[in-house]
Amino acid sequence: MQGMMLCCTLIDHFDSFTYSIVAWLEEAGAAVRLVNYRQVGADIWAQGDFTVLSPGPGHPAEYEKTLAALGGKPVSHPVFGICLGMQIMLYQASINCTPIPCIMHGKAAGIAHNGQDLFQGLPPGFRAGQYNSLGTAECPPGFTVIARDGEGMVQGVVDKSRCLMGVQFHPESFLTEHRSVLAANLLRWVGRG
Amino acid sequence: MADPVLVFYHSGKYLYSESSELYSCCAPDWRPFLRDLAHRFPDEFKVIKLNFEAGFNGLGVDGEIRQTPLHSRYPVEVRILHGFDVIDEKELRFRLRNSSCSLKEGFRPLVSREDYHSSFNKVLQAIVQGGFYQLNLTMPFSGRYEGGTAGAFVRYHRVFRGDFHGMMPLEDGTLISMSPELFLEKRGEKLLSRPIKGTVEKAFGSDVQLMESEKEAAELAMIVDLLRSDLNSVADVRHSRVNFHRELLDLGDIWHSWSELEAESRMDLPEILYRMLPGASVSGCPKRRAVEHILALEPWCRGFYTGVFGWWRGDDARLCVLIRSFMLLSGGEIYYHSGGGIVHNSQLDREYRELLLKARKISLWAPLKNPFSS
Repeated sequence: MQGMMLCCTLIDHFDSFTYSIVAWLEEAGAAVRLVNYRQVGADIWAQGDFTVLSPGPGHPAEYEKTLAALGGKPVSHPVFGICLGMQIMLYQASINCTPIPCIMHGKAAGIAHNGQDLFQGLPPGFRAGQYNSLGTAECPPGFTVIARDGEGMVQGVVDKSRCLMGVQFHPESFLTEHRSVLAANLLRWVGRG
Repeated sequence: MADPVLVFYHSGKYLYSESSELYSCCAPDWRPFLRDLAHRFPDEFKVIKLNFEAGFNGLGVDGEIRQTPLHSRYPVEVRILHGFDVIDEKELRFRLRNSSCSLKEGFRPLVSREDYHSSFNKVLQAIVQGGFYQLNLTMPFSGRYEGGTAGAFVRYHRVFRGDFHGMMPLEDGTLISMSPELFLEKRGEKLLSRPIKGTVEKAFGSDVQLMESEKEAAELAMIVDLLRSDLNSVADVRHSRVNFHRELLDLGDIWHSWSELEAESRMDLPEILYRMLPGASVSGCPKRRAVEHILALEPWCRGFYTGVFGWWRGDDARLCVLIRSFMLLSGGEIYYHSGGGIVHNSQLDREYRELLLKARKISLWAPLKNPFSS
């Protein structure tokens, strides 16, 4: 895929950080197409090289169209979920995120990670911006946890066999360190398909 | 004589006009209205006011507005200045030296403590369930005044510190802005915004307390991230960046914390405003869901309050967020609104007390003589 511009479909769950995710991906060299979550159908995977599930308010169960489409996703199409986007992936794999004791709205947390894929080249414990009321410490079947925070909550998961990856933190937040490395790593992971 | 139009310009100077024409618009999409005025009056300064509700169409807010209007029926109002002077503070004092105004009845809240309590709890519950991260809950206060509206400007100009003071006669009354918050400065393609979140009254706390507060830090960070995204939604030349974050703003009797963001865009002002309103710092986060909750929780329309006000000419504009601002109706009613951001660890008593404290400050307004006449 090297040298080719990757095209991303960003499913917008009406979070207020959507255009910063667009900017984050564009700065890394991707072209981004925004799709309203209410317009998501089974054909959503036909366009673009990969799909990003945006953050958003509420519980994953509220986003039926995204959940239904994810169930029919072609195995090789990469999907990256951010915050609610990751929670949607987990919910589909029967992990229910629940209210967390320490709400992390607008705070940065240290991220312990595996140093590979998305986190390649990043120092252990780098700080990342958080905007979640819900979370989980459990890892669903098929997924591998690739990052956790100091409280033991899941901060990153990957399912390589189904090309799914998700993070609980917000990589586009100005509170997140090494934003451009994260974006470059994401595009490399997508490009490897 | 009709009230003059007075608006902050730059470097402490004001635009002052006694010759202007008022245009109003009720259309949900007001971009064509503004573009038409820009086309007809390309060289004139336009002083513009957009209500909080003017931002709903661009944001895509669902549901009808069932709140009761108090004032400002026209969501968008523009005064075309046919003649104006650029004046400094000294000249401003001189020109308004004969204006006088007094408060006949002090301000009282139009929302009871019980109703505020109930809305507050609904916000906290929704935050814990992941509904949103922050919501700006506000309420109106009303009082009665006697005298000229320019006199009221003079009095509050003394009480409030801030770079965005102004006065604009409108269809339904006169708007007085005492705002300290820059919503948008546009110089050609370059856009600047300086959101404010975090307050400590010097009488009750210190700047160190403000800077060490994790709650205040998180609230401002949230608004900065929200505003970054709003700016990125129009930034077709250069994405947004944070120039400074969490510096102290000294407003005499209070400390605030604020940040500065920048982006570059080739879009015209109507398009930029249409995409960015309502302002991040006065709605909540995520913005759309927060605004939908505000509609259900606040019984009165905000009108001018938390809208934007300022001037526009050609590719340049300067607009403030309409906080710390007043509406004076010709029947003698004066309105003020106040509010605060509710986050998961907000405390009811503290938030309500702060609202009442703010109202007491504006009511300490005895019928004294004009301070500029001395």
